Amino acid sequence: MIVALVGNPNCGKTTLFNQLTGQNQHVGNFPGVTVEKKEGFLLKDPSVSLIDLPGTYSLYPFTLEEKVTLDYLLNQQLDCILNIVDATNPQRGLYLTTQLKDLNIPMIVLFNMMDEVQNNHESIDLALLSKSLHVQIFPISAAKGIGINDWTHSLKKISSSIPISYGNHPLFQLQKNIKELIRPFSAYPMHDSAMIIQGNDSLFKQLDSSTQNKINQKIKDSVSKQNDSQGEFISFRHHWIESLCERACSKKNRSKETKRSLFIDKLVTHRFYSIPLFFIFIMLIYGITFGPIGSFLSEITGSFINLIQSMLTILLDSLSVSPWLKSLIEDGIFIGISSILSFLPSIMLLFLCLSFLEEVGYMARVAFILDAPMKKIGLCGKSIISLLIGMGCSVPAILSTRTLKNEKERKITVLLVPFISCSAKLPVYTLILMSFFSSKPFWLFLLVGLNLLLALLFSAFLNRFVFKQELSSTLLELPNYRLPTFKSLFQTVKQKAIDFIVRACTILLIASILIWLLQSFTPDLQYTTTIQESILAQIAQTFSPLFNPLGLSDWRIVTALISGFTAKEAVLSTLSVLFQTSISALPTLLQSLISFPAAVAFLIFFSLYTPCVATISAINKEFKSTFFTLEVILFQTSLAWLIACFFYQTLTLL
Amino acid sequence: MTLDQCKCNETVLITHLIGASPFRRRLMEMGLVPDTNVTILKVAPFRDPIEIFFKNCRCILSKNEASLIEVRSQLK
Ligand SMILES: Nc1nc2c(ncn2[C@@H]2O[C@H](COP(=O)(O)OP(=O)(O)OP(=O)(O)O)[C@@H](O)[C@H]2O)c(=O)[nH]1
Ligand SMILES: [Mg+2]
Repeated sequence: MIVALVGNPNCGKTTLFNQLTGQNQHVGNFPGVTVEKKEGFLLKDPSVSLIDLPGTYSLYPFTLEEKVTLDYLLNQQLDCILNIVDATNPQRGLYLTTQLKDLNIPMIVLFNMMDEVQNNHESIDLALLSKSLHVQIFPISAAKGIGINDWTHSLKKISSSIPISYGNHPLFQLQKNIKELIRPFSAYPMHDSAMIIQGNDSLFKQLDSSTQNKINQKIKDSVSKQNDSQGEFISFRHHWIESLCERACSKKNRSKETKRSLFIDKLVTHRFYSIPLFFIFIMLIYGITFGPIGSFLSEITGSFINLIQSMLTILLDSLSVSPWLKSLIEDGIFIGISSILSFLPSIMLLFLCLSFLEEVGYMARVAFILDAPMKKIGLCGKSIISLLIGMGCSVPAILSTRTLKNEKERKITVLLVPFISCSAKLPVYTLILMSFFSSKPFWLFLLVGLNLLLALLFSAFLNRFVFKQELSSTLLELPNYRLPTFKSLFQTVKQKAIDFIVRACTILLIASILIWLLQSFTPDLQYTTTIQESILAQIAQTFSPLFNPLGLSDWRIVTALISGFTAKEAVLSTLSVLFQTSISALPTLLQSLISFPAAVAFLIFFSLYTPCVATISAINKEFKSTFFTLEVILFQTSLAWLIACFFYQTLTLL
Repeated sequence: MTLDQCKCNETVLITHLIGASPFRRRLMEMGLVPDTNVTILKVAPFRDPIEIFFKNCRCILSKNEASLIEVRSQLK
């Protein structure tokens, strides 16, 4: 049995999905968190598969992620639609419900966020709504886990759906008349009829001309003024719902949650304070991740890893394994992975901060305060949300651009994501900063600031010279602030930690082993301990000249940078494999190896050059253009090279 | 009068939405249909977009699009 979750953005679909399937999909308090369909099975009844879909305001899609939902609904044989309605704003949610009813697929409606409704001492007459809409309605609170399984009993008994009757309203009669005309051609005649009235002519064009004429005539007869069947139809539905809700819901004042949010927004979206506040939040994130707390946790993890290493050595010695196997395990696998794992706490802190901002509801505010300046350079407020997500990882950042309506803004946003320092770059930053700079956070801000500046300049350039101007519009719901529950934050951070460890144990493991193999064997496949003779040294030395102008001629550093293409952390694990030292000894080694200007060049090159494989494939998937993707790789790498070269040359001159 | 010309904290009634763009459709689908009350809550730090309140929902809307919404002040 297939059941799909459908509802407005931010009404709690994914929260419910996670509760019912035990999965850990991303939840956030702003519209447009989910942009892809996700599948799971009910914990209570694994024969039922549950599909989480992107939120949508209507079945006439406006943005890409809404199209994902519509396509799924129309092309999949669903057994039941589980329609989630935000009970704090039933009018908007029920508009979608009426459209879903047109599809004539069995449906159950869940009124979510009932905790907030009760908290405001309001009441909703669900029985009345249920009778008028001809659906079963259950009250739930997904976040609190109340009532979330009640609906499953009705699943077995669910029958085909009874259409809503809107009385003898002329537009309802029109919809029924057109439905009769197109019945032979349409799988969802009632839905398609509504779409035709609203001017969506994907089906209309396929009809023969006599049917088309009949339809046009009927529309002309029913619409009162001008040629606005679309507007009249939407208004008719909304007014019907409004009068229904007036009967079913107790009189509403602004809710406690709204009042509280308005109060907080007095400061957070204030004319003067909002912008400085935004920068303070960003600096706080880096401060927490890199400052005392982050380093303290990393040190603890580091010493724990050292302990394991000494135990491993004792174990391997006692087993008296052959020297090459010992070397593979110790110098190949363990050193590489452990150097990365010691950064786990910092990365978790970063994701904790980011998911706090997302879940508390701050993201939509950022879009509000920065929308106008962003539009000047071809972006929009929502791009900032994507870029902030990019501080964690580029891949979800790129996916999140689906919610951008304007194609130009979407492309530019994707092109800017590689400029943002994702969490995987942070370990490498830390290493270099530890080796060459005294006050870490300050230089980090400088580096991040430089990248940001370049990104903004690049964006302004693209906007002015590359893309043609399009009218850009902004429409975004501001959700009420919500205090994230400890549980949901914990779940998110846990998921990120698992992802990080999995990546360390797969991609980075393979990369480390590969590097070890290449550096342990000579071109004629003899095991060697003198690295200079190894295959890797031979290959890397051919690339070295390219990096001479950056002061990075050492072949090991070149190799490390190249390995960063697989995943950014790989630069770090490769360095520790190549130098055969743990992360704590690397700084002194690096100091003796490269000069200060070269270190600066390294940082800049690393922060800007080609995105990792995962990001590249995400870009390729979104734009389905190999050319565009290759352009991104080439452009980023050459830009990185030029800027790094500039800094190296200037600094050596000084 | 259109919505972008209204003052902060003013509550107005929608009379008509201009044009036939997909954006206009989306505004209406979200509930900004004629005969709906809208309150202007705030203007963003850089003067655009504006923040509006209607049907228990807060939205941000660029001024350009707010000018699609014709309103009249409410008779108290
Ligand atoms: N108070 C309260 N908050 C809830 C409830 N259910 C969900 N939320 C919150 O609502 C917000 C949105 O939840 P999501 O599950 O991400 O919403 P969604 O419908 O998947 O949103 P999109 O993916 O953007 O379409 C989160 O901040 C949740 O914590 C509930 O029952 N009560
Ligand atoms: Mg979701």
